[in-house]
Amino acid sequence: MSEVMEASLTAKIINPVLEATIETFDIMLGCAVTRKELNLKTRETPFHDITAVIGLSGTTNGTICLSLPKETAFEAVFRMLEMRPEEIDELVCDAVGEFSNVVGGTAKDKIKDPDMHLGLPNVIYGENHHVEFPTQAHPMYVKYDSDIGPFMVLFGFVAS
Amino acid sequence: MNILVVDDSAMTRMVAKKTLGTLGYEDVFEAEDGAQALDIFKQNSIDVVFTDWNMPNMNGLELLIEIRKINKDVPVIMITTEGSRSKVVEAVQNGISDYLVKPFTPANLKEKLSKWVGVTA
Repeated sequence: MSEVMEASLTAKIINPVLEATIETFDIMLGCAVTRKELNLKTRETPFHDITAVIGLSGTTNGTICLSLPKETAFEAVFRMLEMRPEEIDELVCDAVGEFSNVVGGTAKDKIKDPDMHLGLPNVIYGENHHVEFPTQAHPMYVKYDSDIGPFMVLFGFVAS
Repeated sequence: MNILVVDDSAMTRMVAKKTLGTLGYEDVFEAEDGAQALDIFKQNSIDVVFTDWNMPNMNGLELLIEIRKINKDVPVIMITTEGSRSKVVEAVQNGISDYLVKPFTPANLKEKLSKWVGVTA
């Protein structure tokens, strides 16, 4: 895939994802979010403590991740349920997964490609966890700051 | 008024129950899949059902079909994401009353309840 095509594909998909992320933080958490820099991801780029992974298929193959430090995830749960977790447990994973599901659903509506499919999120956590992206993709990530702490969105995909 | 909330996400059920509580609706039943929801529906006088669509054991469509065999009138409101709006057509064809898009606000929930059960808590 040429660099121009890749840039076009990235803009088509990732801009809606980034917009959906900000909207979902606002509506579900009442949380203001500030987008920071876009960077190329390398194997050394660390994920945060807990990550929701959404697979893309159909016209595009790849992966979108929402990765949060545990403190950010705990604060998100607190904002939604008024209970503060002390560890990454089933409820925290469920919350991060469901939150990411809403981000993905909102983004899909904005992307307007009926032949591109977003899977349901899988949630992984723990030190030094890693997510593989398609070998031909050039994964990138966007950092965010928010009222409840930092987080990042990572993505890498190729046209099918 | 008895409200049944069906979703395999505990977080979504808890948020819905909490939100309904703030609106004054305290009699909220929860089910994590369609099969559990159908049991609760059969054993209780349910006035309105909010149900997710993608669930294990018995999904939202299968639950809707079973509920409509028992009760053709009870409002069944599909909880969905923006990306799953295409499923709403299938749901309408099978007798869904309405749909509620996640993320929803207390005002969204209140609007659906006012529309379908016509009373406030």
